[in-house]
Amino acid sequence: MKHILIAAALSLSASMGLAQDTRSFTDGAGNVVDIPLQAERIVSLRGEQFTAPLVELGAPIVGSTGNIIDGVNNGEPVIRGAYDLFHTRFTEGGITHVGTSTQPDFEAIASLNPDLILLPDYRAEQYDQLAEIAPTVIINIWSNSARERYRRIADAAGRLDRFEELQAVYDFRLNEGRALVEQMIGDPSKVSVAIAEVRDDRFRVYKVYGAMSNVLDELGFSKPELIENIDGERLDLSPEQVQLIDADFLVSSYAEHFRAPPAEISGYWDVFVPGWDQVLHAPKHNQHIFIAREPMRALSFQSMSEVLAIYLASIVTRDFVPFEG
Amino acid sequence: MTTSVIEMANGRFALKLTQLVLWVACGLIGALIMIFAMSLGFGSYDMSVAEAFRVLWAPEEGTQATVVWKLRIPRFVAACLVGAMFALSGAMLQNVTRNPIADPSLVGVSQGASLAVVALIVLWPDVPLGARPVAAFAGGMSAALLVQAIAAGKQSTASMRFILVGIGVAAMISAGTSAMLAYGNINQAMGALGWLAGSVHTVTWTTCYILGLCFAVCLPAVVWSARPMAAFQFGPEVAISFGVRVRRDRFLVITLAVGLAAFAVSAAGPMGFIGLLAPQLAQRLAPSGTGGRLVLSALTGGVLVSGADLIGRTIAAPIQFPAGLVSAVLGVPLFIFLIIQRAKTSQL
Repeated sequence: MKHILIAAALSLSASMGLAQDTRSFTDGAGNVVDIPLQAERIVSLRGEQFTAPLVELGAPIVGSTGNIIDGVNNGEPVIRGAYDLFHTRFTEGGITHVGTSTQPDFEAIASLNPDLILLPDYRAEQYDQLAEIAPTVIINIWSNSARERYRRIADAAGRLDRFEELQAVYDFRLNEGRALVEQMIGDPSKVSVAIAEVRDDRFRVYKVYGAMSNVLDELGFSKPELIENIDGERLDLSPEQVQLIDADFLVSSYAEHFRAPPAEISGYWDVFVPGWDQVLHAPKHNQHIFIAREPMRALSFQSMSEVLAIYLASIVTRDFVPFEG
Repeated sequence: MTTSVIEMANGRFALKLTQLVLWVACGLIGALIMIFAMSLGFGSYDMSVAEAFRVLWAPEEGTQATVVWKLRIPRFVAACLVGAMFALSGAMLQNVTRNPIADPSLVGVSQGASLAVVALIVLWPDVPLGARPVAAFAGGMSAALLVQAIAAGKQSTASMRFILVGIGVAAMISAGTSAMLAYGNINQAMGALGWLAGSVHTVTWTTCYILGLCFAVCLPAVVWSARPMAAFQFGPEVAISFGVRVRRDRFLVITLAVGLAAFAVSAAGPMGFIGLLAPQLAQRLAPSGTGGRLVLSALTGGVLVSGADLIGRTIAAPIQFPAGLVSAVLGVPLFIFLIIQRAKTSQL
């Protein structure tokens, strides 16, 4: 009799363990979704925006979108951002590839029996199918700041505690950086930094561009007026407008595997904006900074910490020629 | 050749089909049944055809039922309807313009719908998703009406004028779409590009119900259109002698073709070549009169899109290729083959 009671108690506790406790979560589109208190099988439908922060949070990811990029990972699909920053791979990480962000494979997602699916807002048309498979949460990408977006992801995954820990560490480093700026430069807004790139026959400036712009803003540096006034995150300019982005420093990203290796960046500028390195103050005085694009785009405190270190080394702790604009 | 006559409404509508057309129609229906069976049984979710059919007959709660009833069947149904509507639209436009390479993009339907949806995605991203099909339909219809209004002219040159105006307006609208894609938010632009590829990836039963309703509403008009279309084949002068009110009926047939294409585009995005290819293939499979051609075109369109979707979602899973892309990739060589064949027989 005693054995029967123990077995019954074990069976009951096991079945209770399987049925997850849930809570209501209002997502970016206003859907009120019942999600697990702490998700155990998450499918992420955006690599550098969702999978990377989930990896940093230590959340259990069972599936993610990915891309096949020529020359990377032996031709196997990679999770953009997470691969470059944390070297997260599908096979080794126990994560199943569920297709691309544009058209994920719904059946592959269903096979994983997920308990939470994270969907970016600009793919909201996929919501109805995904919601049939598992609780699906829409996360707004562009209408949220990086930190707010990260917090929402951590909240949905039930990892807010870990988020707060990581944030506290980063804020400590950021405040140390701000103190260094004050000590070395004084008023950071006196230093202007422009983020600009020439790529695919386009001369593009950015107001918002992953950790590159986020950390600049958090350190308090200013931007050229044209960039500051962009309604959105970026703007394509004519080469004739190059002087409008003149600043103390120029920041560009490079990417080995996306037709933009660092050795060729200057060449692209030469072709599309002839004489740029004589017209613009920053390249003329060796104040043009290059940052690896893929790790920088991965939403994470590690990415922000790395970019912070680059700015402290390349702007704050060195002598530079000020732009007299 | 032996013919069969299908009569409706006490003989007011009669469809005369040759034995060859009937056989080809049966073959196409068989192909659709085969694609349906394969669509049920094949996919990334591991399930045998037998299991899929078991779930089909005895639906129950669970992942298998979700995959079969919520993912696989709506895709197949929507693909068939979209294909049939594009094909009917193409067949009608080819008849009215007496131009074998006419398709919905010729009258700006695809471009108008694309511009409207891309504008909605890029300029007003907060507008609810439900507005996209409405915008696509409105954009497609507006572009086509603009083409018709500008092209309205002397009867004898109407077809050529119509084609030239259509090409011009379509190019102008496409330029607007390209500009928005180039200057819009990159993720919104990518979302729009996904829609432009043409896919039934995100269709639900609601999409199928709406498409089915639109198809059902258009069907009597399609049946009616066979009569004036039969006369149009001989040119406007002869058509008048048959008692057809050429100007009015031509406008109505074009409007019907535009409506069918606009409904299809609003559900699945623009799909290259279906409107062009399906009627041509149908004519190659079994040369027939107007009614037979419409029937075969619709069936061919359904086979092409549902087949393209099946291939697109299974061939390199989990990578999903949109049906529009697959149909274009498969359609180009087929189309070139048809042109070469036509050149050999001096028909083009």
